[in-house]
Parts: sequence; C-alpha cells; structure tokens
Amino acid sequence: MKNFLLLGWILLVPAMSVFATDHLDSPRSTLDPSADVADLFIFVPEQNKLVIAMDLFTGAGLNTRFSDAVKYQFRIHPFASEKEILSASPDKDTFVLVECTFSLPNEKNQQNGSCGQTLVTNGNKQELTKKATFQVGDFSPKGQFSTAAGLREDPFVLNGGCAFGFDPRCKREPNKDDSFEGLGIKNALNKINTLSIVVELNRDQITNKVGSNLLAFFGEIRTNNVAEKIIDRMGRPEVTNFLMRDDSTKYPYNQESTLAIKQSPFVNNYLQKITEGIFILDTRDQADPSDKTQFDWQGEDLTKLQTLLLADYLVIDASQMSEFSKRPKTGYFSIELELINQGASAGTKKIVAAGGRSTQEDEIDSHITFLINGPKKQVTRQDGVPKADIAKTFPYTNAVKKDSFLGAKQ
Amino acid sequence: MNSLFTRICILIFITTGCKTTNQNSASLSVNPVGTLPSDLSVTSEKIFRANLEDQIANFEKGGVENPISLFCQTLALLYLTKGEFGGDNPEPWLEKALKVSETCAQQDGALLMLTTRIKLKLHKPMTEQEFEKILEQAAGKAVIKTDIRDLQLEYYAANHKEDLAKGILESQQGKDSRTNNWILLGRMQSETGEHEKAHASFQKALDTIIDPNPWVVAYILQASADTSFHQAKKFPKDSTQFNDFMKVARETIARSLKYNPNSRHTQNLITEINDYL
Repeated sequence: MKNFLLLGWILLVPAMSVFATDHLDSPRSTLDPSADVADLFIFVPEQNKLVIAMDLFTGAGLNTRFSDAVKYQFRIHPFASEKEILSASPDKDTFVLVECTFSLPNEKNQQNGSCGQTLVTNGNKQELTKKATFQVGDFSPKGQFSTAAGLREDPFVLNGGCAFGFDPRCKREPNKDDSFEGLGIKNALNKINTLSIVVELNRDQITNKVGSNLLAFFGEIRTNNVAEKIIDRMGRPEVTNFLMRDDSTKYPYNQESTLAIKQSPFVNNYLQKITEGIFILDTRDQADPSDKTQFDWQGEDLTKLQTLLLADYLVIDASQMSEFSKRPKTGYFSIELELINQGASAGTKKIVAAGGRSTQEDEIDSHITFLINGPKKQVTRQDGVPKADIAKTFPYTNAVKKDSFLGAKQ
Repeated sequence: MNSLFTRICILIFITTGCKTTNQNSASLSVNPVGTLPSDLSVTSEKIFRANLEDQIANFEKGGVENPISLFCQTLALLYLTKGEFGGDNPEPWLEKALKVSETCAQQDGALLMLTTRIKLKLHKPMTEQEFEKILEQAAGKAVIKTDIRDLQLEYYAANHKEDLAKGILESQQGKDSRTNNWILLGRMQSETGEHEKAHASFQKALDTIIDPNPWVVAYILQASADTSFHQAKKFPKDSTQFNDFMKVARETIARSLKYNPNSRHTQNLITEINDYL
C-alpha cells in the first residue's frame, strides 16, 4: 500500500504544469499574453510611499506592447481589523482603484500609457490625483511619485524542479533545512523578460482615504468597455500554477471576480485543488508522504490556510516599512502566518509582520517554507537559486540584459 | 492565392460574382470548428500579431530545452496560433507545432490535448477508440471539464459527427454561453441542413459580443454567409430562390469584409462560391 501511494505521488508531481507565480497560467497566456498577469507586488520601500507593480507577458521582446483593449487594474481594499483578514472579508464597497490603459502604437511602434487613481465608495468615484501619462519604456523617475511601464527583466526566480521534487539532481532529504542549496541549478526564468507596470502611490493618502493600514491588494485585467469582463487576475503568487496545477481549474479560476469567489459554483473544486497542492508540498519533509498524522497543516490551521489562499489577494500592513530583501522574515504571507499562529486569540493582538510582497523577495523561498514546514517551524527553506540584486529604488525592477533572449533581435 | 488578385476578385464578387480557376487556397480547412483567438484575445490585431512574433522568437531560443515543460507547451501553442492566424500558409506552422508538442519532456494531460488539437487541425487520421482513450487520459480527475468538452467538440466537428456536437452544445445552453459555442452550434446546424436555426445561432453569437472585435464579427458573418450559400445550393442556379439566397450571402460577405478585409475564411468562401458558379 505504501509503495502504491508513493508511486501515485511521484506520478502526480511531474504531471503538474509547473511554472511560476501566474506566468503562462491559462490558455489565454499564449493567445493574448499582453493581457496575462504574470506577477503582482505591493510594498512600502520608504515612509509615505506605497509601491504597486504588475508583470505581464512572459517572454516579452523589444516589439512587445501592452494591449490597447484592456484596463490594467490594481485594487486596494481595506480590512477593518485583523479578524477580517482571517475571515477573508475586506471591505468590498470602499477601495482605491488604480487603472492603467495604453494607446495603439504609432508608426514608430511607440506606445503611450496613463494611470489614474480613484477612490470608490459605494459606487461613487472620486479622482485622487491627476492621471499620470508616460511613454512606454521610459522608466526615468518623474518626481516624488513616479509611474512607468515597459519591458523589464522578470524579477522572479525559479528552480521548479527542486522545489517540486522532479529534478533528479535534487535529492529528497526529509527534515534537512536547506535541502536544495549548493546544487548549482540555475534560474529557469533566466533571460526571460516581462512587461511591467510600476506605480508609486502616496501611502498616507491611500490609507487615510480607505481608513485602514491593513490592506487587501489584487490586480485584474478587464475589457475596456462597459462590460468590463475579467480576462485574467492575480493576487497571491502560486495559487494557480503550483497549487491548482490543473489547466481545467486554473482557467475558470482566473476569470472569477476576486471578492466574489465564495459565490462561485466552482468554489469547492477550487478548494479541492488548493488542498491537493498544499499536501504535495506539506509532505515533502515527511519520511512517509502518505502518513497523514505527520502532516504539518491540519485541523483549524488547515482550514484557515485554505480560506486565505482561496481569497486570492496579497495582504499588507502599510503602516510598516517592508523588509526589502531576498528572504524577509516579514514579507509575503507573514501577516497570515502570524494570525494563524495566534490561534484562538487571533485578531485581539496587533500584528508585527508587514506582509505585502516586494520585487526583491525570493517568493518561492517564502512559499515553500510555510507550505513544507507548516505554520510553526521558522527555518527558511530555499529553492537553490540565488536571486539577482533587484533595484531598490524606482522602478524597483531591472533593465533587460543585452544577452537576454532578445539578443538576436537587437 | 495572390493577394492582389484576391482583392480584385472580392470587389467583383460582391457585386456580380467572380469566377476563378485557382483551386488551391481552400485546400486546408485550418479552423474547422470556429476556434477563434478573438474569443480570448481582445487586443488589436496590430499588437496581437507583433506580440505573437516576439514571443515566438523568444521561446524558440529556449522553449524546447527549458526543463520546465510549460515552455515547450507554450512554444507548440504559439506555432499553432501562428498557423491558424498568421498568414496564408498554415501547414508548416502546424507541423512545427506538432513536432514540438510531441518532443516535450513532460507529456501531461494538457499537452496531450494540445497535441490532439493540432492533429485534428492537420486532419491526421484518428479513430474514435483512439480519441476516447486520449480523452480519458487527458481528463484525469478534472472536475471542470470545459477544455475536455471543447476538444470533444473539435473532434466531432472535424469528423462530421455534427449531431453529437450539437447534442453537447445544446446541453450546455444556459451554462456555457461563450461566443464560440454559438458559432459552432450554428456551423453544425448549417452542416445538417437546419439553416434557419443556424442563422439564429449566429445572431446569438453576435449578441454575446459586447465589444465588437472585428475578427470575431467577420468570422461570424462569414459563417452566416456560408449558410446562405448552402441554402442557395438547394435550388437551381437560375431560380429566384437561388438568387435570393446568393444575394444575402454576398451582402453578408461584404459586411464581413468590412470588419476583416484579410480574412482567410472569407476569401476561401469566395473561392468556393466562385468555383460553384
């Protein structure tokens, strides 16, 4: 019986459509990759700044342009308190909407963009700042709060083979803290570029307007018409490609309305897939992956984790500075973990973690750490791939390297 | 077909009909079931095509060798897309798509479905038993079976099992109202002689489009014109009914060309009509 289960586990892992964050996570990504979200970030790099960024189009080139037919939307919803984070109940009626659109390129293939900031309260809209306009590709800072969009190096790094156990060079070593280090395995996303949108917001203005420092953040791509049909969306990294894995599930999930996911007729299918994904990673540090008594994620903790992952948005405490480093202790999912670990007293104490997700953070390390270790163990796991130094000032991503994929076209 | 000749022919055809001796352009029905990029793609054609070229160039440099299978899968899908929407000579791109998809290291359910789709586009022979086996493998434990259903429809349409395709589509009405479903239902109804129902389905397809993407609208109108042509063919060439249906067909083609003057589907239909005349 044990051998049978182990065989099932081995077969299951290579069958996954393994990739990164939301890169290439639906058939849409190849049919209209300019409307396919690859990554999403929110962080506080310095006092009074709140940076939001979205990456699109895995494998973008010099001639790649943003879609002229969609709205690239960022949404920031407040939580009334920590309790609402755990119950996945941000305020749906009050939020800040940052919306970017792009023109059809001119005869020189130059494209212009603009991003506006609006406070939405019960359907009423109030413009927060004048629209920022820019030429695609111009990443020079434009004053105190800058906005830019264009081709950048993908800040995400990945060694999917080690993280998920199908690369034969990565021995499965239960209970070893850094089991994937020192293998000389390179970033599978090396030399791959994306289209990025980076917006620096006035943090104090945003938090004052929505009335909270605790924020839910997600991105959506919608058709640029009255229907505003959702084409793709993203909140948390890895929910689709690493946890759900199955294309038949990822595709409809990507077109759900983020804050109405609980009402979806497919909600149980999504939960089932997320749970399967959790267990695949959870069992990596077990001698016997089929032994349920060894699972790190169990009972109440597991239920909370499922709820949080299904609520597909990043959570940040904007009152705190982000720990802008490769392996921050207070970065992605840190607020959620702190609340899970508070147990029954959750929501009664002030949280200390900052949350969010910076372009510096090696998100895979955070991700595999809490899913493999469970909520209690603090040891950081690493995917074995060193993260390049990412710009710590605007635009918080790196320019494309000359020897990148695009070399032959330059 | 020479594009200048095509354009001249189209102009003449719209008003009077046009006889051509060229028999080659409709040799491959690349898009037998009406799968459109535009049901997914909303971006302008100019950006869409430039982006597709860029992405192919980038993935060709690492798509097959990259240890992550999705790169390989993506390259195959890019070639398929290029074959379907990239120009007048789809076969080499579809063949490339097939070659890549068959050499990807991780042959999972998604890739199996993609390979099957490419084979169907290339009219590779496939028995029902073989196809059923593929479906079973590809479906796995999937609960949401939209992709599986789409592949089934593609197989039935490519193998002239219109009634089976219609059965699936009709059972999905009210549950899955994607534009493509209405187009395919209309095409199947047209194939089985339910021409009025087909026109109604094409109208439903048009009704689902809130933001009129020229590609989609042109495609639907072409399918509707094709149905009118089929209706006309039921009557003698010099009859009033024949002329009436042909008039509708020509008018619909003219509308379609306004939305997409370069539509290969519409050009193929014009060639087919001209050959018939």
